Order: sequence, then structure tokens, then C-alpha cells
Amino acid sequence: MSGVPMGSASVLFPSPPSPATEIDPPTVPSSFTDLDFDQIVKAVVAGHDEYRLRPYFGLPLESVDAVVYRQEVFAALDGTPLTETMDNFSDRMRSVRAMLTLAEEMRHRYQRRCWLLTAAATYVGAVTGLLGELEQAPVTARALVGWRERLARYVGSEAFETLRQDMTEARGAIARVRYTLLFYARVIRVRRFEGETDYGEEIASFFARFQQRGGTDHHLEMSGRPTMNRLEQQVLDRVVALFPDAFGALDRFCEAHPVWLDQLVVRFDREIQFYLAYLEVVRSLRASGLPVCYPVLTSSKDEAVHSTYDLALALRRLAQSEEAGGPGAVVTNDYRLSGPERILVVTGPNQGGKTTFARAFGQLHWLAALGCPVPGVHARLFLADKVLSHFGLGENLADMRGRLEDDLVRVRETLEQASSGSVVVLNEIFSSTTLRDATVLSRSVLADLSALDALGVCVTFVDELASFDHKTVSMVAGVDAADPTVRTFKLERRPADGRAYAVVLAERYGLSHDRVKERLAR
Amino acid sequence: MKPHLLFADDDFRPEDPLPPGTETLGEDLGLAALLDAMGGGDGHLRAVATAVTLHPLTEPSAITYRQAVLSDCLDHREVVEQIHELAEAAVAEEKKVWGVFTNVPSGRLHRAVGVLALFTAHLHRLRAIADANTGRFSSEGLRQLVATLQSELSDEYLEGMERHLQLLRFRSGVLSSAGLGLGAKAGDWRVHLSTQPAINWWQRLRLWWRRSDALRIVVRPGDDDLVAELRGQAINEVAAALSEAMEHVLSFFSSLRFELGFYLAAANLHDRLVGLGQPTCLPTPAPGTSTVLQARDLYDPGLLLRSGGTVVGNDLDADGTSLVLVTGANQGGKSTFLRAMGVAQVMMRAGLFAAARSFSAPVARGVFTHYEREETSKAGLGKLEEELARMSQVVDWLTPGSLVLLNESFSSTNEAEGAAIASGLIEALVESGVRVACVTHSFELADHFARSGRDDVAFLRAERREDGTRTYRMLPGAPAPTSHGEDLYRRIFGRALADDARRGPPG
Repeated sequence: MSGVPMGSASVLFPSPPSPATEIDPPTVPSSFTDLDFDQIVKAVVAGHDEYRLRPYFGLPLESVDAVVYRQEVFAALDGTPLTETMDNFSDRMRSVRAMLTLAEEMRHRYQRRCWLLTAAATYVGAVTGLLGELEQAPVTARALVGWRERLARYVGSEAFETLRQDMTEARGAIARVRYTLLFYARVIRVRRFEGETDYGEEIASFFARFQQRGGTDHHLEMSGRPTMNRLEQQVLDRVVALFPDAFGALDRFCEAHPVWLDQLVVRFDREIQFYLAYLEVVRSLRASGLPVCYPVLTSSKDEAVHSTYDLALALRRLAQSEEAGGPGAVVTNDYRLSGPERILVVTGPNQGGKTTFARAFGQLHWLAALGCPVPGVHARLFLADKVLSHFGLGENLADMRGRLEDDLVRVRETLEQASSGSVVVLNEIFSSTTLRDATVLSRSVLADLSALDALGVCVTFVDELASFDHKTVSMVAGVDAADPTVRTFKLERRPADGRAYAVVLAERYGLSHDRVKERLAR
Repeated sequence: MKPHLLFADDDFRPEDPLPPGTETLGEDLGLAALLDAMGGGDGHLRAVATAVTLHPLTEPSAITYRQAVLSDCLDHREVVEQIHELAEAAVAEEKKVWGVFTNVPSGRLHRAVGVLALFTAHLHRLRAIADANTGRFSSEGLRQLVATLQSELSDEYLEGMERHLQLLRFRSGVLSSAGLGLGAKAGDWRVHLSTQPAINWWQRLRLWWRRSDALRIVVRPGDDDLVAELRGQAINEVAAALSEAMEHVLSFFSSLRFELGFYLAAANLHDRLVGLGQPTCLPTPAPGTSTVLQARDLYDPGLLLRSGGTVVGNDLDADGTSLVLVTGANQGGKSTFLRAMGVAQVMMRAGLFAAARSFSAPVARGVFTHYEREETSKAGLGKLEEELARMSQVVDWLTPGSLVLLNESFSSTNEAEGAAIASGLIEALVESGVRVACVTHSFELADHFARSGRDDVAFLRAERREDGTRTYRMLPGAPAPTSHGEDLYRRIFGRALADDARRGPPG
């Protein structure tokens, strides 16, 4: 493929990274697991193992343009018929691979060749079908426009045209083969078919007057094994002898086209899965009423996010609800950072949704930097160069250093990696020490972060931190106004008001005069 | 070829979902006693009666279609029983035909041939019954059935059936064809007979056998299983076709048994009610938009069957009304009357007769009940909340033209609140085209409607004589302020209420 310069050969990167990076990406930071981002990736790639998509999730994009390049593709596929086009293509390519593997296992020469022929036909159908549908679709995404051009060039090439012609000819010849068998005593006779009438059809139409509703399929499942036993091979040998022309065409095809898979097609087949896999998750989120949106990415640190949530938690709930029925409620949260504001300081009761919010904050920036749609109704986000985290430690820490010491060492490492373009998630830092220690240490860390001008969230039990400086914003995990033991899992700058319990019980059940009339007027 | 005795031109589908709230309806109206009587001790008949009764009709013409068949069945019961028995026997005999190796096509084909051979005999007999009863019936449903049996089960057809069953034994070997499927495996199998009808099957095979353009495979010793497997693939299509045919004939007998079963069950119930000296009638179904509502000697058949004694019939003259409001003495028969109204509607919508001397009413789009419940069901909900939740559910199901029966609804809260909830609700229902029948001891509620000046309300009161005895008659009349619980108390406790207690709650 040469001549006119074309766009990127990749639908994932406007300028692809070196192949080595793609295969062996840099090791992901610890925030990957802290933020449960590994769980998200696991859920997304589930069922797409053969495409090895995992490395792509460890390669955040470095420019807003690269993010938009992907967002365009997501938008083109999101809820449009194009998704089906791509799924179709992937299914066919998967069949092609399966058939090629199967062909290798065949002992009988013509069994093997028939599989190769079918694989080639499926491949040609996949490629031309994809091109045809891309040409019909109103595609504007740069990645897809570029790919369509490349694909059109390939399909228009002489090599592909010859492949298609030879394949079609051999397929036609093989499809026309029909033979007759007579089973009598211990002899089977094989002959060319001569148009005998179908007795099964005659039986069906004779009894048709008894046709009732429903009924079951009475066909017995015949052996599904693709190989042939001795007798079947004997029959096939005779069929080959009876139809020399058809099998001659098959031989000619296989000898002329020993290899036909194009590497660009193979690459596209893999890369497009990144989008399809993620959109599958998006669909299931939306189906259970959870919002997903395309974030607007900027280089400004003014952020506004409406109704976001912890994606890993939501996916766990979805998986559970498939077993238990009825998805557990997922609470959504809003936040805003404007002007000098950089750091959300989260306080409130235990088990009140603080850590969940912190994770959601980190995930948002990870996902956005991958060009993915994010949890929420609306999101305006800063494109971070890194998402870093420091999470309080579990009980199973090998106590080589003291816990506090370990905390401090890791916080320092985190801060060292951070730049003014980073997002930092601090969760329950210094929770293993005294309030006095924790206050002092936390203030110092916050001062560093503030000086860096990095974006971040800090979950803490130290209420004092909530009003640290002009860069911090206080968020409080809410409780029910009427019953403070009930957590709302809502984080708000201001706590919400309570509610009144009144005799409007009937109203609540939609049984007032007016509501009943409304309900019956539907 | 279908019986079409339950619908003029459609099948009955027992698997169709029941209308929402059916279970509650059955409990509140006490339908079990009715269905038991229809079954007459036969589990299958009871199941048939249940399925048909609970899948209601909503068109007057569909109801009169069944009423006509029902009358025929009552008049010519012996013929109907004869056909029902035959269908029952056919269904039973199929179960007794054991199949060997029905997991392979040849075994399955063999069984289908055997069963169909049995069915042929039943079809002959069915045709003979039809011939013997030409012109006997007057309903469209049964006349049509007789005509169908005569035309579809002609001598020629039955002979053809026997001929096919002979051929399908494949005494002269199997002739089949196939194409190349995936990986050159044989696929798209077909079985064939001769393409030259002038020559018979056996001659054709002999000719074919000698042809020189055929290549032979002589089966090696030890390869018999492989041959059986290949031959199985070859005849799979025809074995499936014949098994399907067998299933359809069986299903025809099952439908015949089912549909006639409903009318025999109806006849059982008819015998019981008439035996207990009570009247029955074919109700007059009016279109859903009509407001006719008339009954003579309307009674609750379930109560009659359970008590085995006498019941009091009531009259209802409520043309032009949308709300029937029943008030009056406790234990005065209000609930029984409400049930009788509901059961009459249920029986009419099933195409059955009604438990009354005469009954005419619009065919309800749906029938729903909201009864006071003794037990609180859902944990965590108070009693009123539980009632409200159930009522809200009913409102979800209601459509204009439905009938809803309210029995002491919202009595779990104080009277003033209960009446406020119920009156608003009932007005909204009636204004939305829902018909309501309501039993209440709440004077507040009844008085609300009495003073409203509405002309679409029929007021009934359970009669109580001067001496306090109940007649179980519902008489037209506006609600009276005194409750009769006092009487009941006196009778059960043997003393009057204390003055303090009598003052009771205000209102």
C-alpha cells in the first residue's frame, strides 16, 4: 500500500506507538489495582480473550486529539447499526480462524480442502461485507474513514479479485454436487442424483391437516464431529470419482491460493475489539439505568461531573443482579472544581461511600485518558498525564517497616511521581496513627499537593483538612436526615434536608383521586 | 383440523398467561368449590375447567358461541361423552407404545409408524360417530366439528394413511440423497421414492440396483454400526416428519378431549346446582359499553356447594349505574352477595351458565378484587400500607370497562381516613369508566355517596328485621347510620355493650 499518504494504519492511535510498546506496555502503576481498575478491565475484556486487549488499557493517551480520535470511533459505534456491522465482521473472522485450525486436523485431503475453501469464502465475505457496510454508513470518525480507504484499496487489488473469483468458482462446483445412496443389505451404492422427489416432504404434506399449534422439533441431533469415519471416507472417495470436475476446481483453488489472510485486516479485527468490548459494558450499564457519557477533555483544571459512580462496583452489582435478579442500587455523585479549586477532601461516616467516591474519581480520569466514555450524565475533565494513588494498607502487611513508616515512604514515592498534570487519589492516609500525627502529616502532604497544583481527592477522618486552603473543597458523605444511622452514599458540599412523614400515604401509593384518574387515562 | 369448540375460529391456549390478579380473584370469590364440582373427582376435568374458566372471554359473540355448544352438550350428552372417551383412549394408548432406541432415527421412525397405525383405528371410529350423528346438533361449533371430521377423514384419506405407513417400514432398503456439507461431510439428506410412478417401488429398485454407473461399497465386517449411523442420518428427515405428524394427530386428540372436557365439566356443575334445587340460566352478555345490570335470584354457587343446603337468591335492578354500594348489618350476607355478583361475571365470561334465574350485565374487560385481608403479608409494611400497595397493584391492572369488587377496603385505618381514601378512589374509578361493586360497613363512606347526588349509584342494604334477625336479602335503600355490630355482640356475648364502648370513636 503506497502512493497517496493515508491516515494511521491503526484505529486506536492517530500515530501508533512502537510495536514493542503495544505488545509489552510499561508496567501499570499501583493505582491500577487501588482504583479497582483491574476489575474493570477484567470485566471489559471478558469474552474477548483471544484479542489480548489488556495492554491497551495500560496505555493512556497523551493528547486531547488522540482522545478525540477514539471518542469519534466510540460515538460512531455507540448504539448505531455500525456496531452490528463490526460484530458481524468479528464473528466471521473468528469463524475463519476456527476453520483454518480445523482444516489442519483433517486427514482426508478433500475434507481439508473443503474447509480451506469455506474459510476463504467466509474471509472474502467478511472483508467485502465490511467494506460495503462502511461505504453505506455515514462515517465521519477519522479512524474509520482512514480504515475505509485502506480497505477499499485492498478489496480493489488484483490479488483479492483473483482470490474472490477462484473461490466463487470452486464453491459453485462443490455446491452443485449431489449424490444418491441406496442402502440395501450389506451393500451401499453411490450414484449421481437424478432429481428424485422428496418423500419426507410428501409425508409432511399428507399429514398437514392435523397440524396443530406449537409442536417440537423432532430432528435428532446427528453426530457433530467434523471428521469422517472409515465408511464416510469410503463414500467420499466414490463421490470424488463421480464428480471429477467439481473436485478439480477445488484443487485448482487450493494450489493457486495457499495464503490469503491480510495483516492489516487482522490488525483491524483486533483493534476494533477494544471499542466493541467496552461498548458491551456501556450497553449493560445503560440497560440497568446507569448513565454513561462522553467526557469533554480540556487542559484546564476546571472540572464538572454529574452523576458519576464507581464503575467497578456497578459492574459487580450487575453481575450479582444477573444471579439475584434486580440490580442493587448504585448511588451516583456530582462534583465540581472551579477557579483555584484542586482537591476534594472527603469526610463523613464510615461505610458512607467515601472510598467508593475516591475510586470513581480516579477511574474517571483513567478512562477519559483512554478515550473511553465514562460513568455519568455529563463530565468535563482534565486530561491527566498520570493517575496516582495511595491507599491505606490492609492488615496483611509484612511488618518489615512500621506501618506509619511504610505509609510515609509510599506517599513520598507517589508525590515524587506526580506533576502538576497528575491526578492523585489519597485514601485513608495515616489511618494507623494518632489523630494528632495524622493531622500534622496530612497537612504536610496536602501542602505539597497544593503547591504542585495537581488535581486530587483526599479521603480522611481528619475533619480539619476539609477547610485546608483555597484549593480544597469539602465533600461530606451524607446520612438520612430522619434517621442518621442510614447512609445515603451521596457526597455533597452541603448535607441535604430531611423529609416529613405524613398522612399522604395514599398519595405515595398513587391512590389519590387525581393520580388514579391519571393512571387510568394512560 | 381442529375442534374449535371453545372459539369459532381459534385454538384455546391454556399456556397463555392468566389475567393479572387471577389467584386473588379465585380466593376471594371462592372459585375452588365451583371448579371441584366441575371436575367431579376427575383431576384432568378439573384442570380443564380451571384453565378455561380462568382465561375469560371479553366479547359477547364469543360467549354466545360457547353457550350454544353448552346447550347442545347438555341436550346430547351421550354423544359428547362417546367422542370424549374415544379421544381419551387415543391419548392413553399412545403413552403405552414403548419405543426402543428412540434416540436414533430408525427407532423413532419405528415408534411413529406404530403409534400412527393405532391412531388410524381411532380415526376410523371417530368418522363413524360423525356419520351417525349428522344433523343432530344445532350449535355452530358442534355442527362444524361433525362436518370437518367427515370431510377430512374421508375413506380415501384413511386408506392413503395406511399405505404410507406400509412404505415407511422400508422393507426394500432406503434410497436417499445428500449434498456436500461443511468439510465435505454429507448433509441436506433426503429420502426418495420412485421418480417414475408407472413402475412400482420394488421394480424401480431392481432396475436401479443393476445400473452400472453406480459405485459399490461392500460393507466390511465390523462396520455395521457405521452403516446404521449413516442410514440414520439418511432417514432423519423423514423420521422427524413422521414424528411430527404423530405428534399433531396426538395433539388433535388431546385438543378434542380438552375442549369437550370443558363442556362435560360444565354439565357436572349443572347437575349439582340443579340437584340442589337452584335455578341456572344462560346469561345475556351485553357489550362492554352498555350499563344494563339485572339479576333475578342471583346466588353464590360456591356457598351452595359448600353448605349443601339452601341459599338466598337476590334480585338486582341497577340499569344505568356504575357503582353498586352495599351497606347494612354485619353477617347480613353482604359479602356473599358481592361474591355472587363476581362469580356470575366470571361464569358468564367463561361461556358457562350463571347461578341465577336470569342475569344480564356488560361483559367486563377484567374482574378484580380488593378484599380486607386478615393476615398482613409483606414484612415491614403496616396493615394500611399493605392494603394500599395491593390497591395500587389493582389500579395498575385496571382498564376502563373492568369490574372491581371492593370488600371493606381500607377498614384497617380509622373510619374517617378510610372513607376519605376510599371515596376519592372510587369516584376516580367510576369517572374513568371502571365499574365498582363495594361492600362496606362504613357509614361515612356510604353517606358520602348518598349525599353526592350522583345518579349512577345503586344503593343496597342488607335486610335486618326489627327483632335483629337477618334475612340475607339485599334491598334497595340508602345507608342507615347505625351499625349492627351491637346485635352481633349481644348475641355472642349474651349482654349489651357498655355505654363507654358505645360512644366509640367519634364520627
